[in-house]
Amino acid sequence: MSGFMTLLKKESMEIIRSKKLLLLCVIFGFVAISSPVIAKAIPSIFKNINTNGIIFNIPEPTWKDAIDQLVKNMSQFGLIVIIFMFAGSISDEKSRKTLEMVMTKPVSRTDFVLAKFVASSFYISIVFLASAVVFYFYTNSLFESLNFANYTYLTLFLLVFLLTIFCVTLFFSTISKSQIMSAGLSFVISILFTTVVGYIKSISDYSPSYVISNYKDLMAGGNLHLFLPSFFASLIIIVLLLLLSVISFSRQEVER
Amino acid sequence: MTAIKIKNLTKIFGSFRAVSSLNLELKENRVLGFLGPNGAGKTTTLRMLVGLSRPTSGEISIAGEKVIFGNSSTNKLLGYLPEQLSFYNWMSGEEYLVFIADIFNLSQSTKTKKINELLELVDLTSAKTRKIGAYSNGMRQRLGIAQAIINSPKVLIMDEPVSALDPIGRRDVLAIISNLKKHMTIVLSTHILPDVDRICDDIAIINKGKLIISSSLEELKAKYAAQIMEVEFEKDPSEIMSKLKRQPWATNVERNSHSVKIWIKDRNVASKNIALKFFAEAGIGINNFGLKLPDVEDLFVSIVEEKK
Repeated sequence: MSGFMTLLKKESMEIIRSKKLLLLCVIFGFVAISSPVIAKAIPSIFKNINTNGIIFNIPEPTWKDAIDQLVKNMSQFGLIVIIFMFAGSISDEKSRKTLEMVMTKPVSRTDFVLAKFVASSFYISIVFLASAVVFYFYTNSLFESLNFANYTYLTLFLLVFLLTIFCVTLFFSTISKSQIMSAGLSFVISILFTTVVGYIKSISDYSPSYVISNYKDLMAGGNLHLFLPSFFASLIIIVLLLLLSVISFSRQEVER
Repeated sequence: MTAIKIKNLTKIFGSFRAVSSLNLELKENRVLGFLGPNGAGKTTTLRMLVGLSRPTSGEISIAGEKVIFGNSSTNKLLGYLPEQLSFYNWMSGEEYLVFIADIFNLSQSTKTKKINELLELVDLTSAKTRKIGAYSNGMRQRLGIAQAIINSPKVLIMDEPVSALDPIGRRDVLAIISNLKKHMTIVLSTHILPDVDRICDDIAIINKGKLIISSSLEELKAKYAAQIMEVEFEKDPSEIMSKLKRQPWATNVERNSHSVKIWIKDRNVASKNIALKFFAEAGIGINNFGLKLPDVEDLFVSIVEEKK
């Protein structure tokens, strides 16, 4: 077994045994199921609230409300879960000194970082896509049909957004000495990605969070090409962050 | 053949010189006791040997292959047991050894055979499926040795391998190391000097990052053996003590009841019976007389004091 495959196997085992996979399934599953349920339940919730004579005119919910909930939850819960779950990917190995035992073996530092990236991205993608399928069927059972093609694009763009957040986290985990430091830095930078960059007109189209602010256009069958700059910019950011993580890790001494 | 060659090795942290122009050579299948007071630079040197730390300058080669920071190719020749062992506690002992064996790309049959042998050697067969998180310190140390020799390394580097163990754990680990010395070159950094006496062929002492001595243990003992004379008198030697201390051949005198330890100037004092003549002239009887064989502790203290 090659060094990379050995490390990949170890990462997979760790994600499963440390219950990270279970936690991802629970949280993404909860978002997938609760989003359409909350959308469906909002009118009856308001109907039951004593409003002292004030009448709320809430229209009949549709799949659009379920999508609103999904995007909102994924961009908030999803971001927080990924940062806090993977902030220790490399920084934890430094602080717990497990890195010292592995780095004194014939292990390539590039393989070490890549194995972390591949294993974590794989599980994030699988769980996210599974929860997206659950959301699709559950929403279709509660409301009228979602447009499959538009929803598929939305799923793909949301996944790329989450993977960008993961790569930001992996990079800060590589350069940080502790999980808290890594999580803090990742959180600040991710918030910059999702908010500040979106307000700067000249670069907002390239923001990884473009889909978060414009998903309604996408679901309405708007021009797909408007989403491509953000999609490709995100892929470039992922590759650059991965490259920076590898370079930075290769130059680091393993501290005592 | 030279197992380890260190040439002008220097490591500077900010303004602190942790290791300074260190030169050291170790031949194959020897056991080197790497000694020094706390903060002398032992661990820093070992970490540069195994590629965890980047030397500021200088060169290291293992079995003729140059160690290059960031390139782990020389690690295939090495086994390393750090002072602070940290395993993936969610793995079992056996899983950890499989993980390390896979890193070394051992074939399936070699891997299975080797892991079973090692588990037997370190007495962990019955605990192989237990999570490492549930292992005692002694078991973790023994697992550490197993992972360090799974690749049958040419050079095994051990940083304080027994310092955290109870006497039984220490005895077990020392027995394992004694068996290994037939098959590989071992560098043993330790504070427990009697262990060096039991296991090592050579010693190197560093202090404040500088090598102060490197020699075979035998040579060092021979060199320093002639310099301490132990005499046991028939009666209380108080009356001759002041005269004895004034003798030009006695550099230092220590009295303990009827026994006296005399640091002598050179071998002639013993071989020409200069001391015996002095006692005869003083008219004091002797029960026992001899040159003391120094243990490593004596050597360590003498050398470090002498080089201060």
